[in-house]
Amino acid sequence: MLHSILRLVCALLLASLPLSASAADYPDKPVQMVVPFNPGGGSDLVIRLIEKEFAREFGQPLTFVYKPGASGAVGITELKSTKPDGYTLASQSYPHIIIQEISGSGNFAVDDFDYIGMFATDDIFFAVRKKSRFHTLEEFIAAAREKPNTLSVATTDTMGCSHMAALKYKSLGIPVNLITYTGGAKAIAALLGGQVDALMIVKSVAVPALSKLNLLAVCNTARDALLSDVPTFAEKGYDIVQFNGRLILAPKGLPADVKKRLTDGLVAVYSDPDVAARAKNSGYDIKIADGDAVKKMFDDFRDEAGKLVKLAQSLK
Amino acid sequence: MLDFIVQGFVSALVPENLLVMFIGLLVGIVGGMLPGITTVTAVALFVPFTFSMSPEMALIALGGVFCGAMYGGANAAILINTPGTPGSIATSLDGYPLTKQGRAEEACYVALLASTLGGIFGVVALMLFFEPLSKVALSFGSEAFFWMGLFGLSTLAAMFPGHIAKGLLGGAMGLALGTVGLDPVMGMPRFTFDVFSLVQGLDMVALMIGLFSVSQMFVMLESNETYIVSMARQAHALKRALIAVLRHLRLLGVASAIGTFIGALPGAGGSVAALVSYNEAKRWDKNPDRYGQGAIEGILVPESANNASVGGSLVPLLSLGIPGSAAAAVLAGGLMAQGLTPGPQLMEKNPDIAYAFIVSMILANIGMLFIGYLLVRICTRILDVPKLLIIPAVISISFLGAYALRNSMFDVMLMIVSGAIAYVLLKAHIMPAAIALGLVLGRIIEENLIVTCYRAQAKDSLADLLVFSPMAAVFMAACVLAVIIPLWLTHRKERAAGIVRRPRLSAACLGRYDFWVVLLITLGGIFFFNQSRELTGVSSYFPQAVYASIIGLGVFIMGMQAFQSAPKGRALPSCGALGNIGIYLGIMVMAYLLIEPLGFYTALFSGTGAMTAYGVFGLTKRKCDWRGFAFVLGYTLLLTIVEYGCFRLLMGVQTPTGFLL
Repeated sequence: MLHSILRLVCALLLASLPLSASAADYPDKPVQMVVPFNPGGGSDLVIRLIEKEFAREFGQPLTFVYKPGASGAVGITELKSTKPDGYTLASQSYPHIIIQEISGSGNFAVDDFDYIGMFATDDIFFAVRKKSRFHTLEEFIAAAREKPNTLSVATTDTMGCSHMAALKYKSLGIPVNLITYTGGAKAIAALLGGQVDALMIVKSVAVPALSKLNLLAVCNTARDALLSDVPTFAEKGYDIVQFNGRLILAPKGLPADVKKRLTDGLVAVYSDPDVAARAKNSGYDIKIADGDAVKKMFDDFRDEAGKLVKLAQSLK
Repeated sequence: MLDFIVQGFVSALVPENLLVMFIGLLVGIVGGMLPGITTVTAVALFVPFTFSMSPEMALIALGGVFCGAMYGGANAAILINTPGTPGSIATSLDGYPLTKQGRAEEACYVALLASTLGGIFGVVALMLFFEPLSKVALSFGSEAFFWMGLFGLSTLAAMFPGHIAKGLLGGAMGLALGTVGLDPVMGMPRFTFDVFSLVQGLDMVALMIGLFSVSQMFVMLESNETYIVSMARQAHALKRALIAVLRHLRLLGVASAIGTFIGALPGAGGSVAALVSYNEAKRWDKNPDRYGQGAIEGILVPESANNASVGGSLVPLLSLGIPGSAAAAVLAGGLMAQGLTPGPQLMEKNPDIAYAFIVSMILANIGMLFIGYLLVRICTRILDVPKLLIIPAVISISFLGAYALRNSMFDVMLMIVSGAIAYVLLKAHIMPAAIALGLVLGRIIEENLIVTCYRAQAKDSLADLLVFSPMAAVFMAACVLAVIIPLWLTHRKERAAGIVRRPRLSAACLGRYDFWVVLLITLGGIFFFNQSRELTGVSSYFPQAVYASIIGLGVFIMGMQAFQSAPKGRALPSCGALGNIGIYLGIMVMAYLLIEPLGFYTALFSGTGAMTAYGVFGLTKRKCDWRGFAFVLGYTLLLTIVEYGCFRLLMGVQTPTGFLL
């Protein structure tokens, strides 16, 4: 008994000694993934999906640290002060991260980080309940214009992707009443219970309730692969493009070869057909963009995001 | 349907499925016992292990974790007054008094039996009534949630007989604590004073560990007794528990029905179910004063309700595809990764899997009976352990629990500070349970108030929705009655006893400890009320109302005290006891400061060692020889290793490392 305790203590001591890291043999210890949300959410699931494949690709496992708070802003702010050695990564979503920079709820700027890339996206749908009196987007918008601000549109996350999509909708001059719910489940329940008239919702949350919903449009440039009978807003003449992009990021100053190793490895992992199948089941689409493309997404959205945040603040 | 149920039993009884069910139950129960590991965390941590299982097996395992975690909190709540999950706050209200009366074992068995029966009730209700239940749940709009939250709060008036206003003040403080952080409308920081750590808000679990566990340890330090209770072991505890449960089957049925229904509402889970059903049982009892003094019903009701809510929370998931609680949402995520879509499609396309899952939850509840029985046998042994050895153990687990939920050092500090403040308040009869009730219900009330305000913009007026809609009117009447009846009862009792109050202003109140505490709270309320005037729009309504009621209640209590001639407050603990509490608090702060340089477990080891050594050598006057030292060292090492095993190895909690582990 004493021996085994001693052995355990020695093992613990050894395990806690700092190991020297060099880029050539990266990674030579487990990689820590900061998930800035509660376990079980979308940001967690998208990484959990590749847990096995990551270990196979890199020869080291991922360890998960959950630092929830303020829609991810807390965990990401803490990431800023960690060492850029490739052993601490985080997952966060676009557009949340840039909105947090603008609204000041996060203590960071998006340039404080190096982006490994975007690996999955979640489409956003405009939905009404099955038994609603509206059957098409045109009907809904016509009714909204007829009696301004009497139709309510629910969103599922404060200052997140569905909120942004709904704000874009409103900024196009469609007079609806926006209501922010804290979570997809509550918003769908409110829609089905008749407390609101329509809903902006991400696909992964909507899929289980599909048989009760009528999807009127998708906020993207192309139709969704799985739900291809739903038209895009663009087809109907409205410029509303918004999706939830799952990013993987690291603190700024990542050595170039480590970054390349991570990008190449993660692209390979997410291209695995097994991973793609699992992601599709969960309502995500694997869509890969590298770090530079992510930065460009931020730059393209920054001005508009500022306007949308101002619009949201004027509504309260 | 019947053949699906039979088929479900057959596939759930396959040995491998039974095995994973038991593993799931074990993980769930252990997670539920540990503070900081909630039902959601326990289920989420188990999800990745199910990726490689068959869909049926995965669901059975996750169902086991879900059921077990809901039950797991009960024992700690009963034995040492420290609820491990928010769902077992209500259990501690009567559980700990029962332990004090030497009926700990009986109480634990009642909790186990009630959890099992409540759990089975919830699952059967899920199986039979999920369509109609989901319809009723959907009709619950934001205005109904708002009033349900207030209704839950209104029972504060009856919770602490003799201290009605202080109960309400405690509840308002709980509501106030919930307003710190990002406001629910715009996600803008409020009451954060530019401290970034406050942006994440004051976490409910970290606060509750401080409020209950830490302050309870300070209370234990007051007396000189060696054990928590000095009682002989109770004979025939299991038999007594069985009889108690059988005698209250009807009550158990009602509590389980309430639990199932609240579980079915999206956005309210086990903790609300337990509190609401506890309050209802108390309200309708012939002699409500028994509650809180060690009534066996006080355990039976919340424990059956919170386990019944498990089945309830699956109602909207299976009938509509909406998870009824955070834990059900995690379960849905696990299902989807398996290629199954939770929701009505599952019942249509894969009824075999759906029924195997539902039936397996019934079996899981029965399996819980066996694991729980062994656990009660082991856990009640804690009462044979000297108090001064329990205190360091609970405090060090509190450190881990506070850290584990959000991996945040701020939460550890919050736990220490809130523990100390809770002790100060407790001595002034402002009870942690009141604050906790405010914390649990505050978010529900504010969120739904805001949503209702926004919904009203599309309708004609706010009053139509918030006051005159049918659901609101019913709840509102119930709230008013809930406040007035206890006041009237007190008044009648006093009249019957021939007490005639002749108020006369006197300065005696200035000598009262609780007068000064209430004064401080009121001043704090004024400060924050001023702060909340800077907020604009919908997000300012709730904080302003809360701080205004803190000020109002504070002034009212002080006014009442000013007109009472003789102070009737309980005597404060002796100086020696206060000194000891100060030393323990000091060691906790030291341990907190050591975490960064030394690492979490090393700091915890030092802190636990210091507390144990002080307890053994300083307080029980054991001789300082090598055997004493070896004992302290061995005990501390054992504790730390067990904690490392539970939190790091079993639950996968990452802790900061410094120079050492």
